[in-house]
Amino acid sequence: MMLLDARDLACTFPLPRSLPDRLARRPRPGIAAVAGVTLGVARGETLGLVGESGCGKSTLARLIVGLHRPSAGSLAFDGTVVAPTVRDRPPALRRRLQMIFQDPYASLNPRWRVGDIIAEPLAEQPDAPPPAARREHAAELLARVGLSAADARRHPHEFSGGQRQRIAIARALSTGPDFLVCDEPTSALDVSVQAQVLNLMRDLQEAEGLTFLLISHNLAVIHHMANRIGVMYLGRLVEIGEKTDVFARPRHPYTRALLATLPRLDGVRRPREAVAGEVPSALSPPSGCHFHPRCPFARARCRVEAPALADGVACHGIAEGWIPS
Amino acid sequence: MTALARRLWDHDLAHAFRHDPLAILSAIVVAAFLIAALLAPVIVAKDPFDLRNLDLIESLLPPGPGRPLGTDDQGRDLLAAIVYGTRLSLVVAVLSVVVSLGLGVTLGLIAGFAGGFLDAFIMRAADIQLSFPAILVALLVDGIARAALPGDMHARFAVPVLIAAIALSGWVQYARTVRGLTLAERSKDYVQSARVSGVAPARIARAHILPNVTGPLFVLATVQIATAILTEATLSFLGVGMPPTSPSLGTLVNIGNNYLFSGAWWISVFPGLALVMLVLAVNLLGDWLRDALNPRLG
Repeated sequence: MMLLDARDLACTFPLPRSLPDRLARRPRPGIAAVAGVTLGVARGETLGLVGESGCGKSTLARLIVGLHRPSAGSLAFDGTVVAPTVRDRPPALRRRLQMIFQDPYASLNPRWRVGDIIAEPLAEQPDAPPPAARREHAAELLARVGLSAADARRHPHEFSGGQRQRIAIARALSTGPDFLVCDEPTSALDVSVQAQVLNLMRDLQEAEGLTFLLISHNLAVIHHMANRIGVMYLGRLVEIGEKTDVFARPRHPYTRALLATLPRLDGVRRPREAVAGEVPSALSPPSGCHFHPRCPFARARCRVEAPALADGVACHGIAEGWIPS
Repeated sequence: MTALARRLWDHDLAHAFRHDPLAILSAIVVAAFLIAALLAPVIVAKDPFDLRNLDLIESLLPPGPGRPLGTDDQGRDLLAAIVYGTRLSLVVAVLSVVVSLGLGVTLGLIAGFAGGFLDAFIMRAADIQLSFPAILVALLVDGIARAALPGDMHARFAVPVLIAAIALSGWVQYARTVRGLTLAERSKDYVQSARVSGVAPARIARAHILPNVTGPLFVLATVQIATAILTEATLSFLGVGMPPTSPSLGTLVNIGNNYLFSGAWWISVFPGLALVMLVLAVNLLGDWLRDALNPRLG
């Protein structure tokens, strides 16, 4: 059974309507950041979610932790459907579902001491231990992410980017969660420390049996960390499967194009299926399959009908066999 | 203790302070006024607000031996009156800034954090408030207090009424500043992170956002103290502030105004000079603080 199950999750951000539109009672326009995503994350695995900027990865992450209210769809955690927003969720669920943010320069309150930052999620639980025990716990967490207990008394600005992200990880771990949503956890860091942070995350996953939803636009990060990979394009999940399968044999035309951008060490050039054109605006996404204007295989059906995810890929050409796999 | 003193001495702000003679001078002036106000009963032998100490025989005497700045129309020693008047002016100014700071910060934080209807309501109220001159608002509050309180009560409540009047005309600046900063902080990830952990909105506003928006308020409050001193003096000069029985600097200038053309120039001039020096020094200190805290002027 999946630990986390999202069904047709969608999130549309409303835009302001002009006065004439309002008078004519035209429907309010919106940006469909996430347009019906169904996916499951199994206990103990890392599901890597890739896609270019603006494809809805981060919005999906925020939907899962309840920072945004989904406009449609449902979310189940450990077999039970959960409330859409974090305020409506029971503390016991908030304890199990935590998040690591992209920019450790923004995700730690500059005015707080590191010890208080780490202990806050635990302090917000109804059965929170007394302050002395929380301080002890924070010191323990600091040690577990490779910092020293004495660092608890310092402020975030006294740390480097990599150290700050370790603090953010310690904070996310303070309630002993089993599911961590990691939204681009290393993309704000220097390349030299990215691997350290990723390895720390992997060690912690092994030690604590954590489940990760890892969001990244960096294919190398995904390749290093994930068991399974989901590929998003313009608010939709276009392909999902085992990492080895997707990397070795990408099926969706978009995934193929995405993987073709990876430089290879063996010097063998794969045929580049360069994607023509730009990412369409999420304001007015293309009809049918969102990828059809840039897809070299697109046919008439792709322009009118949105493909459903079947057997791990959402593509008419694959389903009907006119795209060679 | 020495470690703390060492840290204060080495602080950027202390460093900037030591290298700005104007800041040092204005700090000395402000400190002198503060000490005089705090130690007023020690400095001055006779309490000028105690009517039993007044002797009309001594009224309207020019500066001379034993009365360095002369006396006013009630026979008060003017130096004593200025020291006690400064005390009143400072108390009213500081308390009114504290009250308007509290009011403005609370409303600005609510407006910026809650958004929507509350935001629109508070900020439109602020706009309306801004379209009235501060003096007019203060006059209005004073007028209401005068109508509500019987005559002798009003004199006794002059200080709280003045504080309320000045505070009510000053909160908008703080509210606008705090709202703008709150809007910027609200979307930052540390706020989102607190939300993920289930921190209640009121606590996020107080414990997370508030400490991050208070920086610029220091400067604003310093400058506002000077403005509040002036507003108090203006109201008292107009006769709606401190009563003649316990005159502030503005009241003294007003009293002297009646005798200016009969040659008793000292009653207006000396309190006026004290007022100018005090406000100038506070303003210069506020300007220095603004420059010193502005990273872009470094």
